[in-house]
Amino acid sequence: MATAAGTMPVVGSHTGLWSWLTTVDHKRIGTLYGVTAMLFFMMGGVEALLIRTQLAVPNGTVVEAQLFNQLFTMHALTMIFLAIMPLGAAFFNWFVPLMIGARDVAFPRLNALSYWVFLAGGLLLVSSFVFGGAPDAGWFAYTPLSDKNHAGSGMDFYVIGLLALGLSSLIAALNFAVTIINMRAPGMTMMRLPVFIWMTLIVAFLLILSLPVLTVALIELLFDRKFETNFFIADNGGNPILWQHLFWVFGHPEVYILILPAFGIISEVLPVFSRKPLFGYSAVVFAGISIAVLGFAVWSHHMFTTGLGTVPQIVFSASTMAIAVPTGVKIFNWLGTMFGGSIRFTTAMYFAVSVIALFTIGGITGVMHAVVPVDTQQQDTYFIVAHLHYVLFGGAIMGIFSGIYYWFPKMTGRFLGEGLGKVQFWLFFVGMNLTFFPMHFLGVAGMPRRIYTYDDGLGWGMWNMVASIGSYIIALGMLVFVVNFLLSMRKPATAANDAWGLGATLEWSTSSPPPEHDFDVIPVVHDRDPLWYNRDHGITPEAPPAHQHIHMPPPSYYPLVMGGGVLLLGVGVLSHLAVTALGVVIIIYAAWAWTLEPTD
Amino acid sequence: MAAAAHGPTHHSSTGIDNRKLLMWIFLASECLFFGSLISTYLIFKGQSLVGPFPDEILDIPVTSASTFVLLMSSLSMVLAVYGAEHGRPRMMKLWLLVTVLLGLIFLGFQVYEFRTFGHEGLNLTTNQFGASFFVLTGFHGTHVGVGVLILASLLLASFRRSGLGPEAGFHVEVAGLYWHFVDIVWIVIFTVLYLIPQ
Amino acid sequence: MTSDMAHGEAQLPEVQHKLPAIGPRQYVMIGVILTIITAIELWVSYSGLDAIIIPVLLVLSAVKFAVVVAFFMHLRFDSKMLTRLFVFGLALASAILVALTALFWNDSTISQTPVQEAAAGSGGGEAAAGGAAAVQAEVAVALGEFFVTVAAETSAGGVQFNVANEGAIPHNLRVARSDLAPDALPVAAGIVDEAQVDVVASTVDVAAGASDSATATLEAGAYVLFCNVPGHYQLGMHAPLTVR
Repeated sequence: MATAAGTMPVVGSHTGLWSWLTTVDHKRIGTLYGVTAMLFFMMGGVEALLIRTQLAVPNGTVVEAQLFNQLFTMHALTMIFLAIMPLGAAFFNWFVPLMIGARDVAFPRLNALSYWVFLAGGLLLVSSFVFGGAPDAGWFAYTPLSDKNHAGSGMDFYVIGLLALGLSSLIAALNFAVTIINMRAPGMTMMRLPVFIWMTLIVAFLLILSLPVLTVALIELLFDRKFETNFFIADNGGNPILWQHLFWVFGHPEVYILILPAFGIISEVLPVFSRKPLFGYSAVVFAGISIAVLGFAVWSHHMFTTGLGTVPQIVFSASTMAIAVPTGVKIFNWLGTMFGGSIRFTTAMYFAVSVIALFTIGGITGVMHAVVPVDTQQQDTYFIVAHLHYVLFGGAIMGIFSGIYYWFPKMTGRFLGEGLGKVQFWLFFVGMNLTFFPMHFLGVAGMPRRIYTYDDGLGWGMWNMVASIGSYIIALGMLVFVVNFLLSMRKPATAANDAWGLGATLEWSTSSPPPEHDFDVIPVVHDRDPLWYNRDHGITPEAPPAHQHIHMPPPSYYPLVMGGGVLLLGVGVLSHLAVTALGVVIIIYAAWAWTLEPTD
Repeated sequence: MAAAAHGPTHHSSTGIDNRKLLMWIFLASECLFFGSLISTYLIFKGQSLVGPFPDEILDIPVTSASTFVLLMSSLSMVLAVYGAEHGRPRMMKLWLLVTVLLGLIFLGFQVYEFRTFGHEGLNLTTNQFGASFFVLTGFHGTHVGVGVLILASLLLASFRRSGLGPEAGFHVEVAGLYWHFVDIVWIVIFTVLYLIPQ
Repeated sequence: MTSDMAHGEAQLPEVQHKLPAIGPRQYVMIGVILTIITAIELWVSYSGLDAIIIPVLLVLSAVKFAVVVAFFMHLRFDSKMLTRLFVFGLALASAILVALTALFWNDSTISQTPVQEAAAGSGGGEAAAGGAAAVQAEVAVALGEFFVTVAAETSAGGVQFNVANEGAIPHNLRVARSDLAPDALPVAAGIVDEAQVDVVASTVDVAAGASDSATATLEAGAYVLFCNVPGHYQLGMHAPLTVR
């Protein structure tokens, strides 16, 4: 019940547009991230549907080749940077403070800034469609395809958009790293952190350590495009392979940045609905850390066909195979968690269990590509498309929806409908397997990625049609989700503190939705599953004192102003130097005002 | 604990202040940034198709002087931190001022170097050396510039009636961490770009 | 803020703000030490002790780096966790730097393979042709980054070039009959276009520290000696030779 929120006096205004623009509350920022990312997710879905419609039959004529290039590039960029990453960020924002027993993140205003910069970056990237065409050189933007001699202004939007999105992610990651290390409730040792929080911490460090490499690569590409340097232009002494190396030094950790939040989510959902503690907690945590560390040592497996030389091929092949070990450890631990458990099959559990199955398929096809001759055969075929979608749809997206169904009552006080939820699950599950499983066959049959059409008689027609039908089934599932969401939001907010009656972690000890200050009394933690421990030991949380005043940070509009400055900076690079200068001035002004703004 | 995140932090799980922790993690991230730029420089070393080449144009005596200036700015920075932490605002202001001036002198040297190279026919577009050299040292210079802005802001703020507040030592120390980092990056750049024979 | 929390709510540990145990005197001393190390670095870089120059410079700059981090940035006196976080980033950056440069080192040897074979083929041919002529004079040639050192003159007739690679990477030697200035030979795709100059003797790629020889029968006139590993000619690996 939302009783606590009603009785506690808190500072600041709570309604209206202005309160959302100036909010520094981690829960509201999480909601902003979530809603924005969901809209981008649907946009990326429309791009995917256009691609699948074009490819449904041989010699399709739905879109032109040039637009097709823009669509597959923007589909990847949208899904990776504007949907999956920010959906992860929405959960980080909502649940890091709640699960570690804190009242907010370490730097609430930086948290708001990261959202506004994310929005600026997303808008810059998407606006390319109306200003001269979207990026069309693939999300990896290989030179020379992306250099000034081969790509139009869309690639400038790519560079600027990704620089802004990288900045946003870096700010958020720094914030979460500090929050998790420094703001844990008393008794919450590192080895008592919920696994979702561990995965968040690992993702934060992956971002912190890999984004600078992408930033350098983007800056060099920008200089090649705008200032006539030749970093990647072979004719004048540059080296296009350097771009690939720098990109994948970032790009491979990025894959774990996308998947680890989902791993964290299902590591929360599986124990709760199996009514058993997570099997092998330390193994899951250390497996996550090993994946992260090894993730920095495998990047060249994306480049086996570039002529690396024998020794690098062997080294990167071996490190890639090694990374399968900790991944396998996790899968067995999840199975071990369910084994012998008293399982309750909620929609969240459906999604979580499907992640284990689907990710295993994606993981196995991944390890296949550690073998250089196999990789050489399948490079740039639909087999790779199948592999990556089993990881990113079957792993990341299904995991995220598991989290949405699991935590929706905590976030809104309302349950999503279980009946419609299961309909959505089956539509997603069947749809995604119909879409992506045939792509394995297409890949082995030799269908290359990124072709905008193909001739009749190549034997690819049937499976392409099946894949396209599957994609529409997924879209139908998404429609069901939207309906489910709208119907739920019309119901009264009646969820109990521990909405499922099974919660193990701290977020279930406060009201649903939580008050602005999260906890009336900061909890004390005795165990990895603090609520179960309290229940078994008859510990009842301390009652809040009658006249308690909890001071929360006041709202601030400087994050918004600074985000606007970053937007102008980006617009300036794309248009006119004067706009850039204005952006810099605004950023410096906002930084000053920010520092001097009273926060007590 | 949330409110404590904005005012002075008095409590944390590790006993480390949030802002200091943030700065150190940020510096770890910056290692990767400059590491990638230096990698680019090394990969393109000896790959320039046309001159001017590094051994014809790098002026080690002049750069040694600017290196010395930056090194001394690190010393003055640490003295400013000492002054701030030991409640000696005059000492802090003096050494902050010296640090800002030394930072500006270093930037002056860099402007001089870039202009000279320009006159001798080396710019971003001339060859691989020019591109990787200017981008690496340019971004280092930008970091110095941001550092000068931060330190100058602290110096200005310290002349308010309330000075830098009860946490003066802390603010100066965290700004100092950034400044020292910019210095140690230059230690690496000076060795790798200038001193190691071309 | 904690003072707002009216009662005995559980508390996290206090933030430690230990001040380092050293003061201005020690800081100045450290500044002097850093200056001295910088001076030593300069001396080393001008010393010409080619064999040790790179490792010594790297060690000295690492020492400076460590001293600044440990004392000026107070890491020696601060929480171990900060050290671990920073060192992890630094180690990762260094590892990626080494791996990337190593990958490209490998890359460049691959791209040289065809050149090497071509050179071996033509070099063998020259050697066979030259072998017929009696060697009447020997000329010592030193190659390195990036120079070609040779006597200014020699006499016409059968000449054996004794080539020593004193550098750190592979080089080769081409001897071309040309009246052009040594730095004005026609260049294409990063190398001297051997189709446009009259190459009379050449060697295979000579590994660092190794030596090789090539012979040719020279007429009186102007010759240019150069290394034709891609880019090396432009980096200054050329020298004139007058045959009388």
